[in-house]
Amino acid sequence: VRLDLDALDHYARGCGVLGAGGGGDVDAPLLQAKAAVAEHGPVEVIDPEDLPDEALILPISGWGAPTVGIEKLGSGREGEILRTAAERWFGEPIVAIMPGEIGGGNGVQPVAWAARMGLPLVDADGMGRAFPEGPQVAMHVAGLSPSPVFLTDEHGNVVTLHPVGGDWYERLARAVTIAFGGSAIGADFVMTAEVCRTATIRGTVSLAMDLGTAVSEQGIEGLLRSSAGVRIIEGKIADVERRTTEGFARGQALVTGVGSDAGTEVRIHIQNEYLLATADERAIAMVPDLIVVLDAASGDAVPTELLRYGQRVVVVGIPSAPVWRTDAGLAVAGPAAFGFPHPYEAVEDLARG
Amino acid sequence: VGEVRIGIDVGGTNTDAVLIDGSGNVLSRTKVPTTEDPIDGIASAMSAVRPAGDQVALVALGTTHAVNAIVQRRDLRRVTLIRIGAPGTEAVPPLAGWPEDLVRAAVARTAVVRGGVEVDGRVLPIDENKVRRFVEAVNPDAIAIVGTFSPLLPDQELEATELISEVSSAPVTMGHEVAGLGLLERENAAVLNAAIAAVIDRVVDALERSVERSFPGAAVFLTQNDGTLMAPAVARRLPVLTIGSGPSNSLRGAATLTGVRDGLVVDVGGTRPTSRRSWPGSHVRRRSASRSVA
Repeated sequence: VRLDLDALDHYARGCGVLGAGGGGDVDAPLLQAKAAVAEHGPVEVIDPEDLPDEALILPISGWGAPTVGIEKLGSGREGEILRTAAERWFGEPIVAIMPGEIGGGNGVQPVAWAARMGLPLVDADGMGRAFPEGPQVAMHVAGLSPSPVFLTDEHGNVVTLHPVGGDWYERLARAVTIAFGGSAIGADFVMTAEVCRTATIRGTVSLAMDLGTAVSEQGIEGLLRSSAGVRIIEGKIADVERRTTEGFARGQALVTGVGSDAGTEVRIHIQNEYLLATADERAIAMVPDLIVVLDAASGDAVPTELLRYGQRVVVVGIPSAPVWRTDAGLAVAGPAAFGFPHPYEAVEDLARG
Repeated sequence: VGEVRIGIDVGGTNTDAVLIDGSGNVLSRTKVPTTEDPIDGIASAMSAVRPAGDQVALVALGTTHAVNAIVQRRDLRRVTLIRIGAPGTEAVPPLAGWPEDLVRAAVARTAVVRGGVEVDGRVLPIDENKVRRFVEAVNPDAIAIVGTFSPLLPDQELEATELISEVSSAPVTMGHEVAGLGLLERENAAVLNAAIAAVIDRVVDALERSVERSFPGAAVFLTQNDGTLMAPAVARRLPVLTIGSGPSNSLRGAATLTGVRDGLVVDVGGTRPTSRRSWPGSHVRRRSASRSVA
C-alpha cells in the first residue's frame, strides 16, 4: 500500500471518520501532505511484521487547540527535527514514522513528514481513533513508558521530557505547548518494530484508507458496512452548547431526528471528541467506541468544533479496537475514565437493544 | 405619487430590473441583455421600469460579475500575495489546492515573510526589508496581505500595508477585512477580493453614474452574500462579499414573490445553474464552513 496524491483524499476522509469528532482539522494537513507528496513522492505504508525486530519507529502527533492549528500551520520541518532529536538520544536511525493518533488531522500530518524524510509510514497507531488525552494510547495500556518525549514547534525549539507518570506527562506537555504558542508536535513511545507488533493498534492506516474510500464510493451505507458500524440517528443539530475548561472543549449537542427518525432525540456529550450518546438518559453509544457525526449530504465527518445549529447529520457508532474493550483498556478510556456513570456496553449490543 | 424603489440584477447574460412600491408590490419589470459596459444595460433597464412621476428613493443592484470573472478566469487583476507567517506556516504553501488556470489568471507572485501573531497576542517581528524589496521588485497591480491571527490582532497587516504604501500605489486587501480565523481560507478570500476589485469597480461606477444621471439623490446599494444590502464604498473595498449574492438574491426574491416559507429554489442562469433551499423567514442562513467557488 502506498499513499500517493489520489489515495490521500480517501485517507484524509477516513482519518476524519476515525477522529470521532476530534484529532484536529483535516483540511490543512491534507494540503500539507499533498504538497509534500507532490514534491518528494508517495509514502510507503509498511506493516511492522515487514520491519526488522530492532528497527526504531517514531510515533508523532500534534498537541494543542484546533483554533491554533488553523492559523499556525507549522513549518513542515517538525518531523525532521524530532527524528534528529530521537536519533541523537538513541544513537540509532529511525526507520519508520507512525501516527500517534490516526483520527483527524493527526493521522494526516505524519504523511507529510514521512514524505519529506523519505521514510515509510507504519500501518498502525496508538488509538485507532482520537482521544483527548496523551496517555490514552494502546502503548500505555501495554505498559510502555512514553519517555523520552520530544516536543518541537515551528521555530525549531526542542524540549525533551522524562515524566515519571501519565499525569506528569500531560501536565508538562501542556505547559510546553502553551509556551510554544498553543501548538506543539511531539514524539513519544519511541519503540522497536518488535514492540510495535503487540503494543499498538495495527492496520489503522489501511483502515482509514478503506473507510474513506467506502464513504467516497458508497456513502454512509458503505461506511457502515466497512466499519461494522451502527446507524444511531439521522437528524438536525437542534442545540450546541460548548465551553472551554482545563484546556478541553467540553459540551453537548442535541440531534433531533428527521425522516424515519422523526420524534426521537439523541444527546451527544463532548470533550474534544464525541464521547457519549444518550436517548432519554439511556446510553446508546459510549467511549471507547467511536461516535461519528457525518454531514448527511457529503458523508464527511463533522469535527466537534464545526458543529452548528441546523446542520443535517447522520450519527453513527463504530466498534473500537479490541484493546479498548479489555479491562485495562476500559480503565484508561472507558466511560468511567471520563466521569460518566454508565457501565460500558458495546455499541453493537446497545443497538440490538 | 409615492416613494418607489428599483432593484436591478446584472447577470452574465441578462440585466433584470423591477420597480416596487413602499409595500413591496411589484409595479413593473423588465429584462434587457447585459451589455459589454454594464452601464448601458443598467440605464436601459432603469428607464424601462420607471413610471413617470414616481419618486425613486433607492436603487439596489445585485451582480454575479465578480463570481463569473472567477469562474471564467477573465478580467481578473493579477494579485501579489504576501503572507506574514514564516516559519510558522510554511508547511502549507500559498494557493495550495487552487486550480492551475486560476492561479495563472489571478496571481502574479507570492511570498511568505517572517512575522505573525501568536494566539496569546505575542507579536513576532515582521521582516520589513523583505516586504519592501519584494514589492519594489514585483511592482504589483494588486496586493493581498495576510498575517497569522490577524482577525484577533490586525496590527501587523496594517503595518505592512503602511510599509507598502511607501513603495507602491497598488490597492491592498488585508486578510482581517475579509474573513475570520482560518489562515488558508482568509488568504484565499483576500487574494480573490484583490483579484475581482476592478470588475466590481466597473459595475459600481456604472450604477452610481446611471443613478446620479436619472435619479439624483436616490440611495444606492449592492446586495451581498447573505442577502442583505451594503453601501457602494463597502462593495468596492470588499467585492468578495458579492460572490455568493446571486443565489441569495434568487432565494429571497422567490420567497418574497411566492410567499412559500420552505421550498427549493432553482436558479437557471446563463452562466451557472444553482439551487438553494429556502428557509422559513426567507433570510439566508450562512454556512458554518468554508466553501469552494472556483
